[in-house]
Amino acid sequence: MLSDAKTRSIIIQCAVVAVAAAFAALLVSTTFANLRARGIPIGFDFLMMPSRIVISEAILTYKSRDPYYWAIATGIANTVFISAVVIVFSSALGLVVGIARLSSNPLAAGTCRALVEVARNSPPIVLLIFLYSLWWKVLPPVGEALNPLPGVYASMRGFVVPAVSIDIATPGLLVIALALALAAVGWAAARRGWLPPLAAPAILAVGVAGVWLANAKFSVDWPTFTGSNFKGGKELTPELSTILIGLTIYTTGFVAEIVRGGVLSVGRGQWDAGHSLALPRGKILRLIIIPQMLRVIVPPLNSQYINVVKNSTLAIAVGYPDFLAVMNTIISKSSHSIEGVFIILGVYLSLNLSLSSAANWYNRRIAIVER
Amino acid sequence: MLSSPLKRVPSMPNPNDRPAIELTGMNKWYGDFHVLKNINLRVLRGEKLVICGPSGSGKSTMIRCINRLEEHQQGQIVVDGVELTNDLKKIDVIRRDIGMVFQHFNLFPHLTILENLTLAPIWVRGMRRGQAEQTAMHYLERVKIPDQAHKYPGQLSGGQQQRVAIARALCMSPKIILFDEPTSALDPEMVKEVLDTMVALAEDGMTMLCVTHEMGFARQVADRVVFMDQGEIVEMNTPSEFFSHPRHQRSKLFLAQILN
Amino acid sequence: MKALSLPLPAEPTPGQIRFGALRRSARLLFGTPLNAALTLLFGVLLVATVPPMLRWLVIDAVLFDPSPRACRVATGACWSFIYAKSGQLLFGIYPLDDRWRPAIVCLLILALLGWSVRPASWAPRLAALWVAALVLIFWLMAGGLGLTEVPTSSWGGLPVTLILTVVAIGVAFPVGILLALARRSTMPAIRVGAVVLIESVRGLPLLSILFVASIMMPLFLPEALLPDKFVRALVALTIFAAAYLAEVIRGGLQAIPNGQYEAAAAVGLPFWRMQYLVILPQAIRVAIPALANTIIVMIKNTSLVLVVGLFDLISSGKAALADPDWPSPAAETFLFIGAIFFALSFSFARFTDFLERRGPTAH
Repeated sequence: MLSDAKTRSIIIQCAVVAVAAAFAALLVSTTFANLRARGIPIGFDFLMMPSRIVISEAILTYKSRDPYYWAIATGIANTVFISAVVIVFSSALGLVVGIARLSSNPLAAGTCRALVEVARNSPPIVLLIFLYSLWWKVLPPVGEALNPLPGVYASMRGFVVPAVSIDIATPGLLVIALALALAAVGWAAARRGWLPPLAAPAILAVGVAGVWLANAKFSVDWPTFTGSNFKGGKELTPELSTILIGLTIYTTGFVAEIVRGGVLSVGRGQWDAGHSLALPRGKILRLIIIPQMLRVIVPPLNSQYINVVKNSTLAIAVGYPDFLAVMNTIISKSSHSIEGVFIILGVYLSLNLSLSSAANWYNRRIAIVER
Repeated sequence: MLSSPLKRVPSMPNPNDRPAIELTGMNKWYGDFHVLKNINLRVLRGEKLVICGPSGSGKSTMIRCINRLEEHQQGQIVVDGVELTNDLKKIDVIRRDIGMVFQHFNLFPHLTILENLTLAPIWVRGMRRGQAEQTAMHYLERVKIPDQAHKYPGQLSGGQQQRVAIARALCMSPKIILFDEPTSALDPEMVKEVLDTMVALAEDGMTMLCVTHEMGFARQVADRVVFMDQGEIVEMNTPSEFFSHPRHQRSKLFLAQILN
Repeated sequence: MKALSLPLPAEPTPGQIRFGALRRSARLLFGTPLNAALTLLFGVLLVATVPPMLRWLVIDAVLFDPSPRACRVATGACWSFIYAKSGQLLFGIYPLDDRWRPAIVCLLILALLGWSVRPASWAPRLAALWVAALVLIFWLMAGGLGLTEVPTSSWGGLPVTLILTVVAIGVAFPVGILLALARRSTMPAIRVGAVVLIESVRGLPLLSILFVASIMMPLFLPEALLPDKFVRALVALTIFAAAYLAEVIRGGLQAIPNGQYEAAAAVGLPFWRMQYLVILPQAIRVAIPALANTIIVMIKNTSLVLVVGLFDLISSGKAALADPDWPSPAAETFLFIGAIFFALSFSFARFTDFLERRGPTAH
């Protein structure tokens, strides 16, 4: 009986499942026993109760009398905001640095190589703490704030940047959405030659005109310096700025290496062919190498982006309340640890999953057709 | 491949014209390795040269020097009266007039056949898309695959890809075309379709430099056969002379190997 | 490879050397408009940043002056602080008289790591050597048998970082192998279990796993089974490392051609013998560059344990900075700590490069 391959396989599987189930049962029962001993209720009802926790800064509007679920949403918004900003900036920088590393110019290649090595070989948390400690050393007090770009101020109190707000009545918003959708359809149709190529811009223009008619207000709030303080604009605290800058530097190192690998993965024959057609180097790079490189780099780039989401938890090192930090506070405050763990698990897994499926969709779209 | 029945393609290069390509005392090293030794070669307009020799003899490197895919270190390369130097403008001018067909096709896999053909006319010659596509279709018809225009290179057979590569070179209306072992990467049954395209091109009077081991093609089309070995031009002669009375021991050895 | 550089690099050749090195470098720096622009851009960038950095790091810095007052007046870095506090930075709150013990432990681990990266020493014997070394390390750190006992709560600094890295990877390695085999198993229950385990651990930030281990493990486990903080962090790091190592090893397993399995089956090897004798030795050899990369990731990751209250390098640094006699040179301290991590992980990265160049088949 036991030497029959199929029977043996079933028995082994049953045994493994049984052991796993027993272990899980032990965990659950001790946890419940522990919780009951401490008089802690179980369930997600607490989410609707006022949290009374303090979140020092938030992208969304949050007050401590808001319920727990809103505190969680605030934490998620902070994490998503950090991740999105870091992903956008490190992708752009990484592309430039990765290509510059391949330059024959020793100054450019050397500087970029040094940057990449430092970023890749230091723990991000040390990088963040170091940058945070520099903040008060390098930047001047508010009174002497640096003004590197018009509307951008940097001082010990953080950055102040112009705030852009778009005030559109609901009909205008609809018109924009409709116009964008139509423009996308038009663009796709024009690519296949069903519509004249000017259709997409024309539809977009109609949409913009519609918005203008719908009386939308775009306003940019420029910060002004009033001697001791800033009025208007959007303030980025030293904590938030440190995380954004630190994680961007760190991630740029990895993106640059991925980009470099991608460029090298495109065979030298493609360069030869481009050169033999008298295309200049910049055009070869833009029209031939980068489009092919994109296909190679999307999967590793995606796991880098997922790492950004995970690394955003390091915000805790400089005291910025990201999702994990908020959850940590919620758990210690409400004692709903089991529920908290499940929320943490669910949120990170769904963030990663949505990034992965976006990458997969893009990858399928640009896949090279083979026969 | 094209051994029977042999037909000579009439060509009328005029030795008094300005040469299309002139290499004088050219030398090239890879590090310490001397790949090309004192190359002297004059190619007249409309002339068809077949370059052969054992692998590693420097024949590919030599033609890659002519459109500056490789840099030479000594001597002169003059293409159509323009000398190749580090001057990027001159390199560009020369590359516009020289087409090249590679052993591994080097088509751009992310672009359709039509896009492959129109890329350089649009971005280098500044042609309008419609006109470039018209030219492209014209040449696709000449290489007999107009129906594949909207496919991707990966969907075509090797022979079809190489014909697309020839059409891509032609779309820039070059004065000279370099062929770097255009049939070596092909399955045997596809060699003929590519060679036929090249013969047709030769009949139109195109100046061609062709690195190949297709001796039938050499007999039929070439004005001269250049034999290279160990970075040197060992022998240069008309095909009939070269095949029937090779003068050098090395040429004899090579021919014995290749013809068996 | 070279031809891909933009623009094409010039190769040094006899013909070119005659033009002189000066002319060559001038051509590299200014040969094309793009290169000239790059040179200008990076030149300005470097001139703007390097001299002030050098001034702070070296020229205006206090290097050896042992009195804190020198640091208060100096405008440069305060390296004498690092020098004065080096014991505390490196070994945390480990009892002063016994600091020789963690010092030996650090040297021992580094020497063993150096020994282990030599391809010549890759043999089962190496594992035995590590086990023996770990016993010795725990004896030296924890004491007993003639040495004063030191609880894990007093361990700190570099030895904590190194021990966590080495032990987590050491324990995770066999677990990772089992998980990788399970994920390739033909039995659906086992395969699905492995996939769920590996992917959920890999999908979570390490910090959240550390939090669960350190703060919530008391709820999951009966009081009697509850390990101390150090072991809890170690468990979290091990689980994390095991999931990543499993994927690395699976990559190695996928590189083994089917013929190897068929050949092993044909000579009558049963499953585990086949894995141990034929498949795993090849798979691990293929995966060594990726394994080394995972080790670098783990070296960097151990720095996160400070968040759950372990006394690693960063916490020792923070503790040292709290000394009111000194002007609290935080940037210098974290630069020093960063440099230690950099040295560890950079040397490992160079080793990975060496392995990748050598290729997976040679040995």
